[in-house]
Amino acid sequence: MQETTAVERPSQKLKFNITANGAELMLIYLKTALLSLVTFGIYSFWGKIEIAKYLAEGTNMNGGSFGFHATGKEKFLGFLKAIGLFIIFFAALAMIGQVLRSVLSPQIAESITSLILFVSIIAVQPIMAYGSWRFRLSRSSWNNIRFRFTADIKEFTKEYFKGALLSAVTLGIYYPFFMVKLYKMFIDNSYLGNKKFEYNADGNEFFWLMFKGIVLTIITFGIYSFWLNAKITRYQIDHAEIDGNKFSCTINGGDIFLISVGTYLITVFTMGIAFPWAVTWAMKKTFSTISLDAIPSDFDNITNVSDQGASALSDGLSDAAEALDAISGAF
Amino acid sequence: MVFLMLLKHLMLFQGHSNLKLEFGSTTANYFNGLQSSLHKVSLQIGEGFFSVNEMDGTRIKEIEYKNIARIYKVNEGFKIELKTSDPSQPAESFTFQESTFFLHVRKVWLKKGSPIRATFHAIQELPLPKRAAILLSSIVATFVLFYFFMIHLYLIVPIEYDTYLGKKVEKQLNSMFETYDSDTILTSFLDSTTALLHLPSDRFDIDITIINHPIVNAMALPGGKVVISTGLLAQSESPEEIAGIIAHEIAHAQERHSVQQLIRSIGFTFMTAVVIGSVVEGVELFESIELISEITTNLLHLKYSRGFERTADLEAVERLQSAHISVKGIHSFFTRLESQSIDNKDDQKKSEEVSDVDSSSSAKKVNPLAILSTHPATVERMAYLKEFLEKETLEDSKTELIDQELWNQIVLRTKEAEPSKKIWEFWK
Repeated sequence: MQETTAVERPSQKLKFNITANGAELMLIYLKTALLSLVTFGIYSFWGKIEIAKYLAEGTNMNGGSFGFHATGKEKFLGFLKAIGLFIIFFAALAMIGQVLRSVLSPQIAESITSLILFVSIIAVQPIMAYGSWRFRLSRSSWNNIRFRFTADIKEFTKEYFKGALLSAVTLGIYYPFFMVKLYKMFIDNSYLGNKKFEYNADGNEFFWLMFKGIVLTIITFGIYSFWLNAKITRYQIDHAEIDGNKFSCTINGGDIFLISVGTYLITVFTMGIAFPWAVTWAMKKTFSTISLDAIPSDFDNITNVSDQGASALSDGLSDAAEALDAISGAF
Repeated sequence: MVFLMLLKHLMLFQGHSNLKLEFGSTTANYFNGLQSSLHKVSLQIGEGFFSVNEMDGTRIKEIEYKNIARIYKVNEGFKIELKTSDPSQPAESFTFQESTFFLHVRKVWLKKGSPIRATFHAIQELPLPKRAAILLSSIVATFVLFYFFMIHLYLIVPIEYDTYLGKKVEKQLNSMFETYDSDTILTSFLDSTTALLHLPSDRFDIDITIINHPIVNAMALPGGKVVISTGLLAQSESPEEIAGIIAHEIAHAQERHSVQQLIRSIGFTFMTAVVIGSVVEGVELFESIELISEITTNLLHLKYSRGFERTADLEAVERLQSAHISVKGIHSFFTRLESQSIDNKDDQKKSEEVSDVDSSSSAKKVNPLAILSTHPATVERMAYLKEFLEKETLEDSKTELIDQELWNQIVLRTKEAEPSKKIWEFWK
């Protein structure tokens, strides 16, 4: 007879519990630093995954741990593929430049190639954002159940460009509305197994929240920015839910100030040695303010749905772009 | 007897799920990679595998140890994760609480795996302070090895690279300073002195350029170019002083100190970037590449280490002695520089006091002699130069470099020289 273990259903709100500690994290940092040194940085792809894994597994809710299942190998391969793509792109751009210079004046040819480069950089932004979120979600889990992202890339890209263009044209006035739409696209298309997340924020509300916050930040010479940050975080989390169960956040400006300044001071005054302790302390402080009404109903029968289309290429594009930017800066 | 043993095993597999089984077995929550609900099973260690059974003893499957991806402690006990060929697919896993089972399976798994994995796990099992000590000492050992590698790396860098680098830096200098139009007397003096200071082991031909600037300094570019300022010539009291400075700069060029310093700077920058960038998001590893380029293009800012300065001093003495030129010149020059440096600091202190009292004063008084710290007149430096000077004989200083009258003309001309255009005062 098959026996199953039912997931416990608490009567109170679910809170996060951080069991990761600074000492263990420090050892992972040291191991990563050592192996990265002897491999001229190549091991850093594996090292960063190990760090992310440790922090995810050190975070749990309702007794169930989170997990991060990406591998260093797929991150490294993603990076190599991205380098390859960039090389092909820049070779093609150089050829286009040559052709244009043969028929047009050098100044016009250069302007056209610069424009192609600029447009390409802008065009790839939403693709990278989409790909990165999809990959990270597909490799993350809670209680063994994987998250996933199911948005359609064409729809996503269309909405992204529409929002970005309107924000530019309205000199930033449309930006809060764009942010709400963007978060909605990310969250409404995110799942835990077959349980859906939802985001029900309102563009108008968010606009006035941002407007008042920015005015107060200017008046207080930036001091209010911590409180604005807290308000934005609370607003975003309070309007998210999974399977009808709401998230809530009680973080305030004082918490943000303490976390930001505290982490900075701890790191600076210990010359970086206490950085891992700063990280775990900041995690504990932040997650202690977030809770969930209840776990999704019928949780025992949530089906795991894997996302085979997710790849590390977007993350690789980001790493490769930084590498190539640095190399071009060198020349 | 056999029947009784079988009966005993059957009775052990039946009954309540909370019953603690004998060593080599345990109950576990099994995640099959599909459904969130966990399936209660019993695990039994076998030869080369462990079996997964229903609570009534029915065998579900056998899992070879080589299919285990990870086995580790978790919040809720211990976990065995199986390998999956596709990271997008959730892996099957077993979560249990029996520590003896965990230790046994892990021991077998490590034994069957690679020695490297076994070593890492053995280290991971050590108490935290021991682990930290092993890691820290490994990092220190790696840095030491890296350092030895870096200080000798210049030996495999071709000589042509020094020449290439020197031309690059020369171009920068030419854009910042104007060349002094030296007359035939000065040119002849510099050529003959350079020839006298030549050693058979020299790698590069030396070429001396004079820049028209009141700053008191000289520098060696990679590849054999030596740059002297008119300020240095104007401040000198004898041709032996200039010969000593030239000998010192030739030593820097011939020993390839610029390239050695460059490799060390790049190496340390890279190591720091790797160590920090490998663990901290936002401090990108690749920024080190850009930093490396900045170091290369700002070679002029690189200061030689004390070790290089000492080597250059000792080799300069060797060159001077081989040419029978007195060491007195270089010694007196540094002695004078040091006393002027003290005066400079006193003047600056006085001018600071003046400006404190009279805040309407427009600018602080600044001594026109801005002496660079690339050539500090340290106590040690003067001590060992004095040692050589005390041992010097007449034979050692018999060479007359230039007629005193002609020398005075050179110095006077350089004192009167003024840059014709406003130039960014690089060395101030």
